[in-house]
Amino acid sequence: MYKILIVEDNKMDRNLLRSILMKMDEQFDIRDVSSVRAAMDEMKNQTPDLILLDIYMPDKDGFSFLQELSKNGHEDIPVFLVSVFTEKEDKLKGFQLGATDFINKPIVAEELKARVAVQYRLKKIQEDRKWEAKKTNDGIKLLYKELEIKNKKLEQLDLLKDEFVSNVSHELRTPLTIIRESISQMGDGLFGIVNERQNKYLNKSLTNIDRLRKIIDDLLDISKIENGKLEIYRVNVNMVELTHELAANFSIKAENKGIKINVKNDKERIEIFADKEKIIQVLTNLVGNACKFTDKGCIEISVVENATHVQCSVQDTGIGIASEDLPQLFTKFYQIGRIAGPGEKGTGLGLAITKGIIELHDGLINMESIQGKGTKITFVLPKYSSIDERRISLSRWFKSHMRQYDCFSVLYFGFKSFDGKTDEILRPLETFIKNNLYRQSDITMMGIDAVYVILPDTVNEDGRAVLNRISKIIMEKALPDFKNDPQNFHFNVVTYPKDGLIEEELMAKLSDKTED
Amino acid sequence: MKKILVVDDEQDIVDLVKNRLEANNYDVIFASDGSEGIKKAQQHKPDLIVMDIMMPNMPGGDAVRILRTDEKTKHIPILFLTGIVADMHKGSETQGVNVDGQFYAALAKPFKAEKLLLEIRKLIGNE
Repeated sequence: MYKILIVEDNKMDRNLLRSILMKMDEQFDIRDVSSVRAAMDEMKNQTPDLILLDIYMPDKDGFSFLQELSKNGHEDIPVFLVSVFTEKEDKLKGFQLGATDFINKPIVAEELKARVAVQYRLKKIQEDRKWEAKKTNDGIKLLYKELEIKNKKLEQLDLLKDEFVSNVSHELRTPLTIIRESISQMGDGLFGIVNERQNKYLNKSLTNIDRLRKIIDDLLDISKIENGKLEIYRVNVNMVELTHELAANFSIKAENKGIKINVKNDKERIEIFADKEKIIQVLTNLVGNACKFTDKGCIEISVVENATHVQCSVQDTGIGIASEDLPQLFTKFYQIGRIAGPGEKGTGLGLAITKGIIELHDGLINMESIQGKGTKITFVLPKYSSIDERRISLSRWFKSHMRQYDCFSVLYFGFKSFDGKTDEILRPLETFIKNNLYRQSDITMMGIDAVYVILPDTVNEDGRAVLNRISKIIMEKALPDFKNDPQNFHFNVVTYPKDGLIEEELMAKLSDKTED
Repeated sequence: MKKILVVDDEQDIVDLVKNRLEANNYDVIFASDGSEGIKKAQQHKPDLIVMDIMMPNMPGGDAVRILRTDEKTKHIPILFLTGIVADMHKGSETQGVNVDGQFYAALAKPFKAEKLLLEIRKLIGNE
C-alpha cells in the first residue's frame, strides 16, 4: 500500500491532512508525527512513498529534515512542503534541498488531492517498470539455463561422435584382418595351388582391402582433426632427409609412368620441430597426388628455410586444376578427375587431412595450378624451439582436459631452481612418476622445468594424497638429484575448477614456490 | 624352432596367424584371453608373445603388466596387435604401445603378412 508520512506539529492541520487523504479513492497507509525527530524515528521503521512536511516546527525545521533525507539516501522520496509560504526564497530553498512540491496553507483539499494523486500515479508507473525489468531479467536467466543444458548435450554428443568413430573404426578392423589374411594366405598357396586367374582376383581383393583400410584410417584422422583431438608429437625432423626418402618411395611408381622426381634443397640439413609421422603423411599425400595426376614431365620437391620458417613445395607438370575447383580442394570428400588413372581412386580426404595437419603445426598451405600445365602445393611451417613447443603442448593438454572433464587435479613435480638439464633429469623423472600412477587415464607431461600429471575426475584431497605418495617414493628411491638437494624440489597440486578456471591461473598457482 | 604364443580372443585371427607362422617355420601355441595367455606363457616359456590388446576380461596391457612381474616371463618379447590406432604412440604402424612407461612393438590391424613376419624377425630372428 502506498505509504504517506505526515510531519506536522499542529494537531488540527495533522488531522485535516489525514481526513483529506482518507477521502481519496486510492488506499493509503498514513502515519503522522509531530516533530522532525519523530519523523526520523519513523523512517527507521518504514520508508514512506510520500512525505507531507511542515517547514516550521519546534525542534528542527523542515529544511534540515530535507537535508537529512538526502544524507540518508532518501532523496528519491517525494516531499511536499506544507506551509504558509510568505517568502519566495523559502520555495527556492525548498526546491534546492530536494522538495518535490508545495502545499500552501490554508490547505485547499482538491489541490492536495490532485497533487498526491500525481505522485501516486508516478509511483505506480515506476513499479510497473521495475516489474517488467524483473520479468525480462528472469527471462534472460531462463534462457541462460536452457543454453547451458543445450551446451552440455552438445558436448555429450560430441564425445559420443568421437567414440562412435573410434568404435566403428575398431570394429571394422577385426573383420578386415580376417578377410585380408585369409585371402593373402590363399594367394600365397597355403591352402593349395592357385592358378593365375585366381591369383589375379585374389590380389584385386587385397588391394581393395587395403583401400578400405586407408579409408578407415582417413576417416579416423579427419574425425580427430575436426574434434580437435589429433595429437602431434614433435621431434627434430630433417626435412631434407624426409623429402629424399619420399622421392625414393615413389621412384618406382614414377618410373613406370615415365616421369622424374627431383628434390631441390640448398642445405644438407633443414630442421623443424614437428611430428615426423604426420609430416611424412603430408608429403606422401602431396607427392602421391602429383604422381596420380601427372603423365609426363617431372615432379619437383623443394625445401628452403629462412630465419623463422621452413617452406616446402611439391610441383608437378600434370593436368592441373581448374581455377573454380581450386578453393574447394581442401574440403572433405571433394574429388575431381575421377577419370584419373587405373586403381588410383582416393578417399577424397587426403588434402583435408593434410591441411589439418599443417594447421595443427601452426603452418599454412597453399595451392596454385594452371589447367593443362601443372600444380604446385606449398606449405610453410614455423620454426619452434623445444621450449615453445613444450609450452604449447602443455596449454593444449590443459585445454583438452577442461573440455572433457568437469573436474581434475594437476600435480606438479618441479624444482625451485632448475638449470635446464631436461633430458637428464626431467625425462627419467617423468618415466618414474608414470610407473607409479595407477589408472590408465592418469597421464604425465613434461613441462619446461617440471613434470605435470593430470588426474581426471579427482578432487583436491585425493590429488594431494597421490602427490604425497609419489613425492615420498621419489625422495626415497629416485634419482640422486633429489637425495642430494631435497630442498630444491617443489611439488604442488591444484584442482580444476576449484583453484582456477583458466590454465594460466592453474599454472601460476602450481609453480608458485612462495608457499613452501 | 622358435616358439611363438599367439593370444587373441578372435579364434579366426588366431587360426590365420597360426597358419602364417607355421608356414614360416615357427612353432605356435595359442590362448584366447589374457589369463590363459599368462598361464601358457609361464608353462611353455615361448620365445615371443603376439598379443591382441582389446580383449574382454583382461586386456593385453594388463596381461603384459603381470608377465613383467614374473621372473619366468619378464624377458619374453612382446608384439602387440591392435585395432585401436589411438593406442599406438605417434600413430605409426609399428612405433609401439606404452605400458607403464615402456614401449612395446605393435602392429595395427589389418596388417600385411610381410609386416608381421618382419616385426617378428626383428624381435627374435628367423625360424
